[in-house]
Amino acid sequence: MFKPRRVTASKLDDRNRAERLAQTLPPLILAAEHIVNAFDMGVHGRRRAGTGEDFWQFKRYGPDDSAASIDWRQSAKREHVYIRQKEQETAETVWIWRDGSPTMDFTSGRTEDSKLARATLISLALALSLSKSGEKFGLLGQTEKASTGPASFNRFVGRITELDGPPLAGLNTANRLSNKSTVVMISDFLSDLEEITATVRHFVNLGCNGFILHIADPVEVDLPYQGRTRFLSVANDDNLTLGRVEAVREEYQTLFEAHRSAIAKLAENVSWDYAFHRTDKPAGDAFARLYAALNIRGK
Amino acid sequence: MAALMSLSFLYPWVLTALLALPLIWWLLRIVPPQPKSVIFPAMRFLYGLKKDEQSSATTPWWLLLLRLVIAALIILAIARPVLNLPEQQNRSGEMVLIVDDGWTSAQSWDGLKATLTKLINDSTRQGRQIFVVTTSRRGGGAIPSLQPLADQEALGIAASLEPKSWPSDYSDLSLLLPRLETLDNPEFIWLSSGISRSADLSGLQDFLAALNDMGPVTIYRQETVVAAPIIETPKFDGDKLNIPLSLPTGATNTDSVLTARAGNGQILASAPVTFPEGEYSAIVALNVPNRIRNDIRRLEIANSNNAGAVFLLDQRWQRRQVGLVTSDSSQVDQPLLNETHYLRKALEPFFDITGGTIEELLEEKQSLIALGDTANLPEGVERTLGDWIAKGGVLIRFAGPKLANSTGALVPVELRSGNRSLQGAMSWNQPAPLGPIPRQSPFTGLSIPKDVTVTKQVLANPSPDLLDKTWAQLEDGTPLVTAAKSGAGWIVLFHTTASPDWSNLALSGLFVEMLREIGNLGQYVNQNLAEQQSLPPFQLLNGFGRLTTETGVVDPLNTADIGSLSLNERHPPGLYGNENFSIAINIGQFDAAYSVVDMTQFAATFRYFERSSLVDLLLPLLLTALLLVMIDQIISLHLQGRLPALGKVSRASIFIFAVSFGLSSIPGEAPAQEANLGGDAKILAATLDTRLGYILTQDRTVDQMSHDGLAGLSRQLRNRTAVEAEDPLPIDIEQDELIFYPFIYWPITPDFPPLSEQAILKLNDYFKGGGTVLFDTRNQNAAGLYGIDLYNSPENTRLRQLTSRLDIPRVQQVPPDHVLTRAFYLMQTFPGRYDGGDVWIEDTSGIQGNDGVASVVIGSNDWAAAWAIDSDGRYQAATLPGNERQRELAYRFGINLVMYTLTGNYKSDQVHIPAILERLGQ
Repeated sequence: MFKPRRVTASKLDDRNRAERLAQTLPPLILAAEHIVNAFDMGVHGRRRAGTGEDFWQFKRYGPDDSAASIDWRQSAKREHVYIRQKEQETAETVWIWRDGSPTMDFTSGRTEDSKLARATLISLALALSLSKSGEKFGLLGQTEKASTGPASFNRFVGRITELDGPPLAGLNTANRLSNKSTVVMISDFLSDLEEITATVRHFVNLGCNGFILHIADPVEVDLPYQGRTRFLSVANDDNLTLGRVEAVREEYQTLFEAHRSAIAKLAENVSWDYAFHRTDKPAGDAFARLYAALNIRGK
Repeated sequence: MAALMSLSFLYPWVLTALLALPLIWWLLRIVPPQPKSVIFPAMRFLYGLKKDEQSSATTPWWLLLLRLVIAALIILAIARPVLNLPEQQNRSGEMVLIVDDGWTSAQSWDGLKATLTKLINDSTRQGRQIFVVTTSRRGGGAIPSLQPLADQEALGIAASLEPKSWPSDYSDLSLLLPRLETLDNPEFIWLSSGISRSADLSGLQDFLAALNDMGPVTIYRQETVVAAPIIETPKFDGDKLNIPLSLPTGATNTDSVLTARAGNGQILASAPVTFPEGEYSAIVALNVPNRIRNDIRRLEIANSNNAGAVFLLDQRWQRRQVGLVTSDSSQVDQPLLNETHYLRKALEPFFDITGGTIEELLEEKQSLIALGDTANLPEGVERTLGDWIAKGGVLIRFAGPKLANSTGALVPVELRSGNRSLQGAMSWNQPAPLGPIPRQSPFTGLSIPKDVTVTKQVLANPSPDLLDKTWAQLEDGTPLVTAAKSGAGWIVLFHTTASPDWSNLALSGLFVEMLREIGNLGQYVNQNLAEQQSLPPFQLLNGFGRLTTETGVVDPLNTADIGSLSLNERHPPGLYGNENFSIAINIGQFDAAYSVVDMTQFAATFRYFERSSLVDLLLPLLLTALLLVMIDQIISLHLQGRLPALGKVSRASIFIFAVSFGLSSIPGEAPAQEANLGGDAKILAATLDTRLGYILTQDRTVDQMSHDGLAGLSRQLRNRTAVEAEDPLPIDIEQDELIFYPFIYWPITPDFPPLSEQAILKLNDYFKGGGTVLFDTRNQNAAGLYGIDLYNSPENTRLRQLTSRLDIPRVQQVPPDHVLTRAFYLMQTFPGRYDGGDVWIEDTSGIQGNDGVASVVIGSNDWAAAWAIDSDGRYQAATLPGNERQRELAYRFGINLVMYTLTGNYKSDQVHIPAILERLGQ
């Protein structure tokens, strides 16, 4: 019989929950590696610091450039004087926020993963990918500072499974971010638009780039129920009974779409990237968007 | 609409509850169905919806309607609707039901029974006292009785009453009149079959008239009297069976089919039956060849369901039996000189012949005995034969040189000693042709061929009654066939031989016909009917013409009384006797002058049977309501979205199916995959490759060891020899074929089941066909327990039991020069897992054929364990006392044995001796 799966977080103490999550971890990491490997095989070259590979571009010599940086050999071949710019050596820092609010821990039963599991998976995949390419990364509000490397990934894994992380409203004060950081927000964004806007603005004001990954369960998008239905809230004891769900479905979809496009609009306004991900689609889709967007950021 | 017209309610006031339906409607409307619940995170958008949609949940109108129908159905059911309630008689007095349950009712029994049930149902409801009187003829002096019946009893009678297989008889009903007069305000109802013999109707008119004085009389009857024809006694006429049929006068008949059936119900012959308009008797001829004649057990009118339309045939209608005395069977070399040969040929067309000595034939209670030319019979035999004739036997004798010179009794007429020769060397007489048949002879009607002549005969002494005893005579009046009645039987004498020695009568068709006519004298059965005996009822006909084995109060049948029998409760039609011999009593054997009863002679109210029975609608209505409730539940679940999605269900059920199938198909720990081969696959596997076989025991570990052992041996055979032995196959000694296997290993367990007859035959065939079995008692290690000699061990005891009935010649210990010691390897000891046990082998020195290969080798060294390897090629059992040399020797023994069974004794051929000697280093 069709029944939404509900993980009652409140009933388990944190330790239990952590253990339970940890049990799911190896397969999660495996899945994450799987996704990452799929992209490693792709068209994007690895951007590792290697011997002689750190060349970035030749640039016309300008008055503010140091004369020492002139590449004489190149300049000799051409009309103008060129300096050789190297690839920026300091890695960019990526801060990941995976929403751990109660609404995330939900699956309609029509998909394998809950939103939370999917968000965790994508976070892990991202962290793994960043770790492999030597970028610094951290868990917003949960790790002290961004770092890179296998040890860092292990710490990341531990944190993401142990703790829920700060709510959206608490992000402002979560970490001291350097500018030029990239913030990846993975959530279902079932909050007030103002709250979301405030948080995003905060990061933008810090000079951060960002990526908003909006995750939703298919039932939240489609509202596929029929007939008389009582809807129970995940977060609290609220419930709401609708006589004929099919009659309000279109209106609901309009409301949901309005919310979604408002977030997309917000992202566009601050030149952040936005992606919408349904949990019935493969996790690789969302990761592809994320991967492409972060690469384009020109690390 | 007619059905609705007959609908009535027992408690109509309950229907007022239907007025409450609008209330139920209203209640149902305001109570909407329970919603389904779902957990939903995105509640914030739902709160944003316009509110006016939220309270619109009501029960759909069609669901409301469904529920109202359920409520209405329950109310209707409580009101107890019934169909076909009989019209209210408004009588309160006692009701006397006179029910025709003679066989003539069977045809219309449905209507009669329905009417009876309805009447009883109705009057029990009204609380009236019921009496039931049945009219089938009582026997043994019983008189009709009138017992008041309780309601349940009456209903029980209505349910259990069945038509009887004997006729109704109304003559003794008048005995009830004094009792009936005491009833208070009675009503009389006669349920009549409408068919009866006029004799049985006597007194009925007076009886009904008397009833009319006491109360109203109602007669229920068929609307049109339909009856199946009654089958009367059939007669055989050559290949034809003439069956007279009669229809009750005045009855209508539909065309039907007469069938003759065998004991197992198989239809042997059938013919259509039609009665021309206005005719009530007919004769149907069935074509019945001789060979199926004895099989006919029953004639019946198809689909008649009526005891009168069935005629059972007993042995009296079967082909006649004749005993042929064949005491001196030494002359079979020249059959054409043997009178038995001619008698056989002449009797065959019309008789079933049993040969034997006189004593044997009398023992078998033949009723007809043909006796060739014999001299004086021994006195004792003559006396018993005389007694047999007196009890009804028919003796046919033939003259000849022996009889001509004897002085014995048992001849119909006194004979002159010596014979009369009509064409002797010293005689001018011509062979005499046959004269006219005397009038009293059973042969009258047979035509006399001109060319039958008699050259020799024995002559009768003239006596006054000679002419009466003569059945056939020569032209000059000398008797040729004489016969005399002696007691209940006959002695018939042919005054010439049964062979062509004295006359060519034996070659003529007349001879055959004469014997046929004589056969009519006998009682044709192995037991003489005339012998007084009492036959118990065996299988009886019920009123519907079916045989039952319920015998109830039926008396045994005294064969002497058959002529004067009258069908009644004590003597219903059916088979009397036992399965070997039975006499059939049929309705059609008695006076069949049935006619339709003329009802106008009775003063009464007439009604017709009503087929429609009382139908109580309570249960159907409640069941319908229940069904609708279930539908309502399903719909409700559907409305709440609680019905499982179809895809999930099927996936789950497929999983369950798969799991259960998987479990069931997991093989039990079969010794090997080959063990699962069945039927043709196994036969193919056994025949397409050379395979060793092992006998399955009851013990799985032993079977596994046998398999692994032979597998190990097969591997060594492949490695070392030209024998390409594949994996061994298990053999179920009771079921599998053995001949495919050149060599069979048979481990003996103490609990090996005894062999069936079939298995023994199979094994003996196998031995004859050149197969070899190695019996292994596997108990050499336990030799100490039994004092070195294993003779008393349980395995050896079982082995002796198993082989006691097999064709096994003498066995010997393997001699030092036996082929087995050099068939492939040169060896003198034959160790297996154990060492030291003796190996015994069939002594083939004196036996030709089979290439001198012994079919049996017996030992106790547990060779299979020594040979056994598991799937990884490791040895499974340690050898005792144990070293690799012993195992190697065990393999060598196995290879020698297989080579020996496959190649025979060619190694014992002298050609190889020098090579062997050389290798032995001598």
